[in-house]
Amino acid sequence: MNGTFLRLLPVLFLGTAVFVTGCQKRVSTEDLAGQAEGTQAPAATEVVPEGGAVAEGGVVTAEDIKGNADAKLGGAYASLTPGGDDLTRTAVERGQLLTIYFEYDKYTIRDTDMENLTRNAKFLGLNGTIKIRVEGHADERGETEYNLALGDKRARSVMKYLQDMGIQVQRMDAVSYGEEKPAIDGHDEGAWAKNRRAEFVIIAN
Amino acid sequence: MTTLKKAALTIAFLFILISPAWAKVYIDLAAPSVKKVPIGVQEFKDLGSPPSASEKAEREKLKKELMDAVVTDLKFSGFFSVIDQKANIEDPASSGITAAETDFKSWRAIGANAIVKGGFLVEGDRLTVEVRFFDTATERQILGKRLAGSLRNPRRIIHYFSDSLYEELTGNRGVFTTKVLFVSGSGGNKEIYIADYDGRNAMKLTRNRSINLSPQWSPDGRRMLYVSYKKGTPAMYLLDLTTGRDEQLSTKPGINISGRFSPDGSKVALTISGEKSPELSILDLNTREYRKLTDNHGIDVSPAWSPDGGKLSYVSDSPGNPHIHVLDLHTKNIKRITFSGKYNSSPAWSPDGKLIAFARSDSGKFNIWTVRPDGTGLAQLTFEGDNRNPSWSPDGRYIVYSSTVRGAPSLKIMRADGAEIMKLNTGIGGERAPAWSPYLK
Repeated sequence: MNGTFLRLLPVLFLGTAVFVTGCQKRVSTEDLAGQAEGTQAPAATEVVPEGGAVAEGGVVTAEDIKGNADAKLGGAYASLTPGGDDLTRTAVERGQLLTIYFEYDKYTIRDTDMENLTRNAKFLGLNGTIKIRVEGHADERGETEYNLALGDKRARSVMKYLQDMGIQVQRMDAVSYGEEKPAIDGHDEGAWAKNRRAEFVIIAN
Repeated sequence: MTTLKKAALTIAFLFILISPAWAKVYIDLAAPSVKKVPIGVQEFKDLGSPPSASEKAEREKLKKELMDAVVTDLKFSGFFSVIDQKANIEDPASSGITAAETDFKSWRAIGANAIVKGGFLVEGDRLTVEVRFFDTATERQILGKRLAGSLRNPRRIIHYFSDSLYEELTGNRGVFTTKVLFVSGSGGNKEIYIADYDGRNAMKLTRNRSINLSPQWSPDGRRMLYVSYKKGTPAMYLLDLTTGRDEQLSTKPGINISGRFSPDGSKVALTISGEKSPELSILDLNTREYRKLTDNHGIDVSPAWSPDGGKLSYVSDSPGNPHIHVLDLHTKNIKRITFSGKYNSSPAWSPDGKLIAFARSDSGKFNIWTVRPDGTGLAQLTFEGDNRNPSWSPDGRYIVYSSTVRGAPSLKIMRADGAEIMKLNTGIGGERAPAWSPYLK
């Protein structure tokens, strides 16, 4: 009884199994001789292609920025312009640039945040040379890509409101960080509520 | 095994073969631990001259690595239960690796219906491995190969053999030489990594120390699409995995995210927000022109191409919360296909086009589900922990996904029906957002 084993396996194969019916083994040139010859008959050796740099385990990663320091990212006090961090810090400490918070999976500005946003608009109105970046964030519960879009929507909601308050659109831009830069580490509503936000960063003065 | 038993089993197998309807039920209801074929694996023999004292430890390590790869592949196939090596009776030192030099009786005695034996030869940087697969009942070799490769990657040689074995046994291509891309923030910044299908040989692909997300394969397996903050804002890049050449692909204002290659590799579907709202577009890779697909005030992300390239499944919040939709690229007709669950995300079209896998949450914890592209046939595949970002194996038989249990994310593979969950041990930790490669050879 040849090929008992072969008869069993296709049955176990999930889905539309192609039934290799038993005994006709597809012998290719690189196959080692089976038991008939009994010995390790000399057979052609098959060369396993190494699949390029990736399979080889080296080389790749040519993408890097020259003189690679940590890439500059936003977040509370990490604007992309030197000096911006201090200005932002001062404005935040004086209650002139306030973070706006959002409901879960929402990007409309709550009535309770309108007052804070109005204060931000006043500050920008009084400091006409300042340019800001609005950074939109989401909490960790959603999906990564959706959260990037959600952060973008939140930042744009804020910008739209400021624009309606008379702040020139040229003075603002938006970056979404999705769920990537939480203000608070934590896995409960207390942390999530603080992480669903739009922050203000001064990028030019 | 007695002759009588053997005869009885043979009759049972024949019965399965001649009654396909019954066989189908058998597959669906099979309790894997009962129905799997017990297989013995013998320690690999060093076919070269005895190693010097200094080489000895390396050779022992190599022996273990080859064995581990064989056992991993056999288990992963879902066909076999591997018998603990400690049960083996035949002495590897005194027996050979061919059928004639094998005492099949001793393997049958430990319940092995099949065995794998092998040997290896180290010559400088070159590693030659001989692997043979035998049926212990018929005492015949089913497949034997001598494979030469690099000593730097012994597992790849075994995976190569496993592909051949799988094809020999099922008639279908194996996925043992495929790879998985994923994101990990374990080094402090989210970077993208690549690993073998089983998680081993993990290697960092990005090192820009910003945030790198959403790795995706080109259909030919040579390039990777990803999102990076390396220049400050979320933009899309294309990394040639064979040369290391990195290219900015989409750097429009706002977000440039969730890029997916079309099945023919000529286009990329992606989400860009521009000055307005995150909308889907198609970027033609030849002309570099964008064609806008959606235009509303909501969020449209995570497009997944149907295998024929005619449709896109994606996530839209237009119903008020995120749901899966299907856009017909010819008729422009949009059909919503999920109606329950508070949050539906990351659709992934199966390679045969028959199912869309996605992640659904009601509570903040996601599970993987599948649904037909017309919205019927909803099925939940995972039930424990937080499970996201499904990605199909190129044969459609498995799904890799990210799974968080008690706070620690990792990658897991399950069969496409939700059975046989296997954790990938990459050694990196905190793995997310897996993308299973196409066939790579």
